[in-house]
Amino acid sequence: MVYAFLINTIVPGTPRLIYYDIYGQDGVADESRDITGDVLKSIRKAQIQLVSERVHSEYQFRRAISGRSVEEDVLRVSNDDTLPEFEVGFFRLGMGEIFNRERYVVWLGAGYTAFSVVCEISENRLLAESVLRLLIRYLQEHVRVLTQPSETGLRSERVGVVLNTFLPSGNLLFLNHRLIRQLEKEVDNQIKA
Amino acid sequence: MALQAVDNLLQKARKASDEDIEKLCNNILETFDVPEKSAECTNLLRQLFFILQSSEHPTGISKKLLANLITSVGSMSEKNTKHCLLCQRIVKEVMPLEAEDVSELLQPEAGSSGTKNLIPLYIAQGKRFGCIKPVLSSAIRWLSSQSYDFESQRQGFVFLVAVSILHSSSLNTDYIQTTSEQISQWLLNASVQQAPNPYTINPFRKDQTNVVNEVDGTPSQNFFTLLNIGQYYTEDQLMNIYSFSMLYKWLYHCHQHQTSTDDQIPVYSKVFGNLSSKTVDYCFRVLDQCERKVKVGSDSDLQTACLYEAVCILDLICTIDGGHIPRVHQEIKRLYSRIYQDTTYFPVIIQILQFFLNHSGAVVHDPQETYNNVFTDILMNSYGDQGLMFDLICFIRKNLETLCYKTSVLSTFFPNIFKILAWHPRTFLGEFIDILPALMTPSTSLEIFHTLLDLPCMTAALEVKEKSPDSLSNTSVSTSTNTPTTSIDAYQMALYRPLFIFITRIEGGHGDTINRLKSLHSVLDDLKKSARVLVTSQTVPVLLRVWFEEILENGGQEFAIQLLPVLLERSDLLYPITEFVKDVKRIISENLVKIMKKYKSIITSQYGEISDFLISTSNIVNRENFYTNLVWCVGEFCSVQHSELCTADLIAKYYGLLEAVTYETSGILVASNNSSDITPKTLSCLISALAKLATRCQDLIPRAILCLTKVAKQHIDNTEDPEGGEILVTRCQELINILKLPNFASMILNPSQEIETGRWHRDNTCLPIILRSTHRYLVTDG
Repeated sequence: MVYAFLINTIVPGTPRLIYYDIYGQDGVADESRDITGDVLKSIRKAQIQLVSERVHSEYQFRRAISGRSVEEDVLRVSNDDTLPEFEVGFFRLGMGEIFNRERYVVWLGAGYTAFSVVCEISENRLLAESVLRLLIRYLQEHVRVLTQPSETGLRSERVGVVLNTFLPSGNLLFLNHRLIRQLEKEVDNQIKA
Repeated sequence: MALQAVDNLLQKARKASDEDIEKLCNNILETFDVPEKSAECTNLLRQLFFILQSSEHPTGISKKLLANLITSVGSMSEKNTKHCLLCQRIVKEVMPLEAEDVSELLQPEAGSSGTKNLIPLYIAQGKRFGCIKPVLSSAIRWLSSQSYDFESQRQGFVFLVAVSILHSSSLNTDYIQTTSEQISQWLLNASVQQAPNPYTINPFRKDQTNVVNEVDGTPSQNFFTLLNIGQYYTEDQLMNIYSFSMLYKWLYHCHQHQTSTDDQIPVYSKVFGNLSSKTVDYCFRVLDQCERKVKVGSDSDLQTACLYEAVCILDLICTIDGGHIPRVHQEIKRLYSRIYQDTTYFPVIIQILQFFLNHSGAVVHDPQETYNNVFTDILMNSYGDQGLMFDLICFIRKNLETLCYKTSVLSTFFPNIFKILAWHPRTFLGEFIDILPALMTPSTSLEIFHTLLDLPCMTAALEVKEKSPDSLSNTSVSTSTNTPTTSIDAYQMALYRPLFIFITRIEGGHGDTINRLKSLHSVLDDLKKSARVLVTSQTVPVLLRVWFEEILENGGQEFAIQLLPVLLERSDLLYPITEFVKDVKRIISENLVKIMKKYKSIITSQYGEISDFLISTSNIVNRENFYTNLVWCVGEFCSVQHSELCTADLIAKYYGLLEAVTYETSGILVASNNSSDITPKTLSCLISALAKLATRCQDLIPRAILCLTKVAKQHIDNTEDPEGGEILVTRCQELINILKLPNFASMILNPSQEIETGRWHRDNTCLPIILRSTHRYLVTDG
């Protein structure tokens, strides 16, 4: 079960969170009754924000070394029908760095947006990457997440359907091509319903 | 522009006041469950969710709405998934709920079909005001009886695995046993028939019941796994896929919990029951299926991911129950020999290495060949693959102790390992801070010091290699001796190629550094502004600090003696990136003092090295801090107090040396019209050191007073730098006055070591009191 999934902007400046969903919990603080629910919510938001900032910084570095301008980068996603080539990255978050336990982040980014999953250390890195690719493919198909990022936060029910199908309760599943087709149809039907 | 829209929306959402939200909640309540207003309701729910998710402060919603939303989540079905998921997301956003709301709205009802749909909410609520316990018992019931529907079983399993990850202490042995038994069932007993197409209803057509296929298209003749291809999948097949996908996590977290709480010898292998052996069977079948050639391209990625997972699971199973090692080890060895050269499987090979590291001892197998493969070929060819390097760094961190004490991998291959940082400096600095001390041994530390200082060059050289056309990088190099215009040209010249080969070498131990470092720096000059090189150069100061800390902690005097000439040399032999050079010089200068403070006798024993350096005033240029720090150390530590070998003769030699330098720098300062590289600070430091040395060999005092007087005279009417001149004159005068009272001078300029232990103001013989009385003397005399 991944801790969280998030989408944030990656153009220069402060990264903006476009969407996130948290599946896990972060250690003792969640269980302590001395901390109010509101404080926990604030901590949770701040943590996700920190993850997005780290992803943003990793992406800026990639952009700098590839010597690409933001405009060129954005052009890569202007075509609605084909997915651009993504920058892919992985980094570890040590215990106490952002979360109370050790976790790691897998991210993919292109154009305006980066997509990340925050994984427990027991998670399969290769699987996390391929599921993330699937999520992007279907989020682009159903909410145009790469080309119209502002729509994503508003059409959250569609985002919810895609996530719930391909990342049910935050679980990374091994999906062969036929099962992907089966789930794809389920998503179509649920969105149409 | 698309992003402007994002900003506008976010700002609007953040401006929403509590009243706005309340109004929105009321509007939702009015439309909720009114069929003809469902579109409007969805729209409002979207807005509410967006506001909640973008607000910077936690926001609440009305209890009535919360109750409605939770009811809606509980009633989720195929027809209203979209709506219910949106409700679920809104509730999750305001979670965790407070005690009262939990007891009223979120209590699991035994036997209620809604409970299963609330599982994501129970997980989000966690242990706060507890719904874990009651839900756990429901989940176990759903799992252990076949009479429950697929969705209940699926949700129950998801819940149990989530609890194992997040709250493993809530799982007792019974829960683990029951769940494990059920996982075994799902793994090995799924049907092998394909499911019928659920989207066509044709009562006249007989449903074909075909068996599922293998990835290569042949019909399956063995039990079902996730690598079997069918047109559609049945529910039990889906549970099979869920089981394999979550198996490692289940075993890992339960095992972690068991081993951290049980003091007894491994009874924990029993709690998983026959799950261990069933798991081995399943994984073996998966290994087998991964040898088949896929019919659809995308499945080959799946095969790699499955192999990776299967090896991790088998590794864990062998840790849980050593009885499986012989059989599994043989199979993993076979797998290794099949894939060890195949780039696609490199990530799997690192997991295989982990397996060998853990279990080869039990079957007398030496995995050295695998170590070599990973730390030479794989690392050398794939350092650019961040995912793979992530795996490798995690492997090193996880096994740091074993690698450090039981193998020579780290001390042999550290130059290759540094490539990971040199190529991904933004990403892996934290990890290198952790592993650096383990790379350092008495025989590697100096070479690592050079490697760190030249890390930006390593990055630059790797960039050159990347950019050079493939055809040129391996074939003949030109024998031209012209000065190359670019680093890529230089790389293709026989004269420079060895420098590139050295800086990107794989193994350590072939000499700490090279003589022609300067020419390497100069041919790489065109890359000093490259983004990657710059970021690498920013990591060096951080790691240098770690390096020096380790040396100060464990280096020993012998090592410090070897280090001294290296510091003298490298303090001005650095790849010319302005900030980098500044930082590194500062760190080296600071640490020179720390090392000399710890091993004070070095000043005495290494007179030759130190005097050769100090005598030449050209060494002050570009590294004044380093030079003055060394002068300070001589003044401070050249004393019998710190080394029995320190003789009056040696003090006199150091004195003579510093006196000569003092005259020279003083002259340069006066003549330089304020434009020299030397500042009054150096001179001030030199005269202080002279005075200190003179107090330890009182014959020198008249000579020191003479020298100080001359310096003062030279600077008394320094019109170019009146401020500096004045400071120097005052300083000379002070020292002369102190030296005129030799007994006091010795106390003041050689304070006892207690100065460091803090007796300053508590003792009658402490320095402030002596100074005060000296002052009084001088004032009344004067």
